[in-house]
Amino acid sequence: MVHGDPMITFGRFFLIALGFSFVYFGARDILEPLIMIPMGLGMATVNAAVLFLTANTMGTIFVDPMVSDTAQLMDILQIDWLQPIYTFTFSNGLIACLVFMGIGVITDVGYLMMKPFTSMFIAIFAELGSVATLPIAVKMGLTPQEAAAIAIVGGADGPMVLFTSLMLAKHLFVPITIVAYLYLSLTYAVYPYMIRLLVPTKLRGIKMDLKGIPKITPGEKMAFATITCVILSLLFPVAAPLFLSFFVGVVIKESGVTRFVEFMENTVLYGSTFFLGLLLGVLCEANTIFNPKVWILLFLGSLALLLSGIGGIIGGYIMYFLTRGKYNPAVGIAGVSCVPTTAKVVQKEVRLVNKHAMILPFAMGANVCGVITTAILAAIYVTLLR
Amino acid sequence: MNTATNMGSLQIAELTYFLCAVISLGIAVIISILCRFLAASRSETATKIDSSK
Repeated sequence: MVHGDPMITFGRFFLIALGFSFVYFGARDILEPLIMIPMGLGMATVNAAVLFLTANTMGTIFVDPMVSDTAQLMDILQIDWLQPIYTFTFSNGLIACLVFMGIGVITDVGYLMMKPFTSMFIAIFAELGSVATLPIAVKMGLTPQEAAAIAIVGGADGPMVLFTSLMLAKHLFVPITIVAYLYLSLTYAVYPYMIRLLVPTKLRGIKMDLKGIPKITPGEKMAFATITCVILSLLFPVAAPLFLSFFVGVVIKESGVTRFVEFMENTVLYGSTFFLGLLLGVLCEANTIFNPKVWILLFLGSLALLLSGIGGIIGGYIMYFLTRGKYNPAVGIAGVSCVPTTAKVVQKEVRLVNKHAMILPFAMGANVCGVITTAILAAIYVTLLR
Repeated sequence: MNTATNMGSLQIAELTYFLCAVISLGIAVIISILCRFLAASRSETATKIDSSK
């Protein structure tokens, strides 16, 4: 473990400590536990389990992310224990589709259908980071493809980041995906402070009117999901697998076939999230992380999420002024599509100020729209830049 | 095919944001039309049931 470059050795110790802290903060619910606990343990273990693979090369027997030669891959599939899951689900984007199916099953599109224009308006503003980061990344020396792949982190949608980086910057998809999931978990910890900083207490406590909200039937939700899926696939065939994955989840949920719902919600979503977290952890090997380009990606990823959060709150303020003070501007941050984390974060922050304020339906509407706008953005990037 | 070869990064970002906004609001229009259509057909069915009683 201590053989070779001292910087890498130091990096290994640092990543082991970081892995422990992820497990701790995940268990304490400060960071997203579903990703952070398996990721932290994987990260700590992979950096400890370094061995001599041949007389001169060091490595681990967990996974080789960059292997492309077929004969070499066949050997590695039999040796590296997570390699089959990585090769057959991760590096081809299948896991993104599986997670998206699960997200579809837990998403209630009824919230978005209640106030479609308001929710979409907020979500468009909350994509500020996904767009504004692209020129900044190009100025910092990335190619437009690499810049688009990291900019999409601003959409706070893990499967979409995985998909975009696989399509546009395959050589960077491991560090970009690590950066994305690292930060998505941090939205859990950082966005509450951003809300407190940008929205004064008085405005944060605004109670929103739930009376005028129409009831949406499961049939209406299914019709919406089917039509939107077909239209989006027609416009962006390149992202059609992701659209289908998401909307098939929505349709299954609304169809009421409970066995399918349970299968997708428990087995598919939690199964793929667990292996996603574990794989991300074992990919955080010191040699991958301590690459100068990764530091740029770390900076750009955080910038994208920060700008998206600010954009969402700007959208919230515009709605506040348009409705003459009836819209809670904090809801804007829920346009960042980390379903349902950001919506829950907003509701929690609003409740701290006014325990009678119920804004969750509006926040969920913006949240679901965020998934759709991020998918549209990713599809446009891939269509323009591929 | 790289469609945006001759475009600057700022132009790509602006075009992407514009397209995203147009398509997203287009979807919002579709949702509104769909909801109105379904609500109208629901009230029509309710009227028919009432008149048959």
